[in-house]
Amino acid sequence: MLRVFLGLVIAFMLAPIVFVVINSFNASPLSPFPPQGFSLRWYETALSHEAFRAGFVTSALVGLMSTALALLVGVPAAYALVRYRPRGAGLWRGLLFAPLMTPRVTLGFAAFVLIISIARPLYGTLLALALVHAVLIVPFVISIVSANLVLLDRTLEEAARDLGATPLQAFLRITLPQMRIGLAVSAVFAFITSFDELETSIFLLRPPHTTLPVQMFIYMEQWQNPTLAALSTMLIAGTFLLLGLILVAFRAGDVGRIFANRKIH
Amino acid sequence: MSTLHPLRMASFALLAPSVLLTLAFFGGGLVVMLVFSLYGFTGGLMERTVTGQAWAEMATDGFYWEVIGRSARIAAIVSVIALLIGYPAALALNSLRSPGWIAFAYFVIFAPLLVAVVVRAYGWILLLAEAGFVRWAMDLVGLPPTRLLYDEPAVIIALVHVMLPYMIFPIASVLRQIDPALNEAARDLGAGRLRCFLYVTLPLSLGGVVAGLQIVFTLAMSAFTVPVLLGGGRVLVFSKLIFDNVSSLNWPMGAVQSLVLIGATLFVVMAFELLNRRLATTGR
Repeated sequence: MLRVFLGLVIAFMLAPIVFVVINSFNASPLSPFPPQGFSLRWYETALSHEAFRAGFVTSALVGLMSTALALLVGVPAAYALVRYRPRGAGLWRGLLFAPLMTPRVTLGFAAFVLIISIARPLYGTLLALALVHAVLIVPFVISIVSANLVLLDRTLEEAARDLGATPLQAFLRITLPQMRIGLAVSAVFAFITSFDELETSIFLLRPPHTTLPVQMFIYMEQWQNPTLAALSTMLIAGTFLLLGLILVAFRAGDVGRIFANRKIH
Repeated sequence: MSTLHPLRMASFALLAPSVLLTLAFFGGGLVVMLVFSLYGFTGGLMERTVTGQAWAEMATDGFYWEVIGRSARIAAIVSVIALLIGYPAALALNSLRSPGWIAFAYFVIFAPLLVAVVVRAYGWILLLAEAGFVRWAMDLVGLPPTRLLYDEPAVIIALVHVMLPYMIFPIASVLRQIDPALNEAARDLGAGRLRCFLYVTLPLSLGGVVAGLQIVFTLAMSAFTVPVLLGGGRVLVFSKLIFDNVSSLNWPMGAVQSLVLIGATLFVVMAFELLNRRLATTGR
């Protein structure tokens, strides 16, 4: 009985995604159900739509920058919190995780007013948006990397230190390689989160130089032909491709163990 | 580990970049927003003189409170529905035994979080449209045509979809930690399945329920994309109001409303936090 219910819930969770994919092949521009005819023309339209192409490039660039930033500042933070357990760790963690509990729209607007007041030249740049996204992503990086760190065997690091390695050397040559999974998973999550972000991007980048989700949002307010479905299907495929890469590169069991160990914050 | 001075310095150095980044953009942004909230707004532009008129307007104009009320109401409905669906789903998840099915179920429930909200919103627009699947299915079964899309029901359905993983995760986590021996003991003492659930599982899982409600309510209250795309202008929520004010350059009002939304979010978070403490201490 309960399993049947779970099946319904799974169907509910998959429904919008499945129907988007189905509709991307709908020959009729009015998106009726059942679909009338099979056509690939919406993929052609989506791939040649200038705003979508520009949006994709923008989102990808911002995603790469924000992921790099988040990893650069987040990995040391996670290491400090897990290995050194500083006093006031709760305070630091609270500060770093505060952006998660804040409404995205207010975050976007706060970043906007900050930049136009204090860092005017940064306004409208991809770097500014990447920095804001990084603030959002850092908690995820810290969570995942911490979960990974906790699973590692500290004696290997200590042995390296005993043999004369500096803390940095021990970290780079012993710890970091062992954290491959945590780093890869947080990088992929970070990139996807940044790519998909809308409510902060909409305040910091004005069309036509804005990210792909914002372009889609604008498009959706006016038109609703299956071009959006084709674009969405490609994005969905891309997302699952990235996820699949992780599961292929590392054993699924190892990846699962990191998540099984995580406590909800 | 110890807190010897070199280690303390090392941990500060490692934490500094992320803390500074967050303080700068998050903290700094809030400070500037606070300052802007006090400025005046005349002739369609913000004036950098402290007038506090936006705060006064916010406190007295009933329209804004109506919008807040709507956001809160929608958030409450979404939270309750998400709980009613999510709790049994979490129970079912927890009862799965084969690792293959467990992995599949978790993947299918949580992977949609990685698909952009715009895409999922578009999916619901397709499903709930006049020519869409839901209407087609309703006609098949003989249900009367009711407007779903571009009104509150569609917003609620889509929000439930977006929030469900956030409700299921804490509940499933807590359920996983309940010692099965407790239920076994209850059964041995003669309790039926329902009593076992009501007197053993449910009380022990309330922490997860409260955590789930906390997350879902706060996220739903500040939702932007879904209400705008699926509400068709009929469902004005607070985040959209903030956006509209910012777009029309009324930054003081935008700032005031942002701070009110943050305040409301904090209030809800703390209220649920207190509820959790109460539940923990009464030993239920």
